[in-house]
Amino acid sequence: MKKIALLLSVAAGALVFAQSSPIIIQNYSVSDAVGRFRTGMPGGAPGPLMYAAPNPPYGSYTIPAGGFTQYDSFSTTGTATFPIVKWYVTDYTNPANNGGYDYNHPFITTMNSVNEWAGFHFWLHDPVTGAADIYELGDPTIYSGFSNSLTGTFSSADWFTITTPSGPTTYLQIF
Amino acid sequence: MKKLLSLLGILSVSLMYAQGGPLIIMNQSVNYDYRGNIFANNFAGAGCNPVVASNNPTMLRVPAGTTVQYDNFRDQYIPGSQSSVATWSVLLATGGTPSLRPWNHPSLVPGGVISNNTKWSMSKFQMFHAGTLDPETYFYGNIGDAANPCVNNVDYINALPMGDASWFTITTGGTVYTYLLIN
Repeated sequence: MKKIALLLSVAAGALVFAQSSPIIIQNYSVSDAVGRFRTGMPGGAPGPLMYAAPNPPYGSYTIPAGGFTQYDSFSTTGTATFPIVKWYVTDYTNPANNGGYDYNHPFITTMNSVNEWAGFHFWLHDPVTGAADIYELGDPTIYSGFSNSLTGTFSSADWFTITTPSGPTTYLQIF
Repeated sequence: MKKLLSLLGILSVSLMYAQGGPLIIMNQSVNYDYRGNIFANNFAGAGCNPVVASNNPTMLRVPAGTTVQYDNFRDQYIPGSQSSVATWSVLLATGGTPSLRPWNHPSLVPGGVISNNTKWSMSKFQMFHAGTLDPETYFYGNIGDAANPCVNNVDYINALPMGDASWFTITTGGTVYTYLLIN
């Protein structure tokens, strides 16, 4: 019985510490998604947040048309399909933390249990007309300007977290 | 230890169910048409998101003596059919606003994230005298999977002698078939 209680408490813990959960990004559209991808404090609390450095060869953080990638944690993003080799930390509560850190820096490992995936402020260009859809997609509980689900003129995008028996996974999908 | 194993067994079962299969509404009633809406949701997490509900038509119609099968959110649509769903209402996050999506929206494709993480969960229905819009006042209800962690449902509604309704699943060949059987 004690073991069951332990197992259940571990399962509950996995729900509470959602910040260490993976994110899966799927760009089903025919346009590159270009913008600023960031993390944030749970519930939008004061504290540090991080912006992803551009993934080469792009000049800004980019999920190319048709691109899929997965990040299991902040401290492993450098080895993903679209690598984030550096995180730019902004922290109004402690400016000493400000600056760029390699993804495998010990500070980023600490951030695994401090931040959550927050959102992606990006645009898509219609390859035919050149028109742009601009999205502030993300978790509105972290930043009120983010929305879970948005529709543009030629595309749409979703940001949501699915809970499974093995833990939560966040999805960023562009259609 | 045995209890732990059985708990793990239950967990793996719930993983299996997460791969949703078809919903089959069998209206074997002679006298009454089924009109209602259908829901699917995740069976884990606070709020059980995503939640997907039929939105257009407002009430699906399964006439007396007929059976309708919903293979998935997409491959159920028959243009002009009162039994098929043209628009789904999709709620991705608790506290968010549901978005209305056509049956062929790319986020709802079979094998996609929403499809893989939801299963048929319930129906709100009212039986009508066959071929009319006259409700049978005693034959209606919310019926669904009694194991749904976010919605309390019964899986049997007794409206005898007019009829009764049962909600159950049958798993064959790795596919979970969810039934709403109306007699």
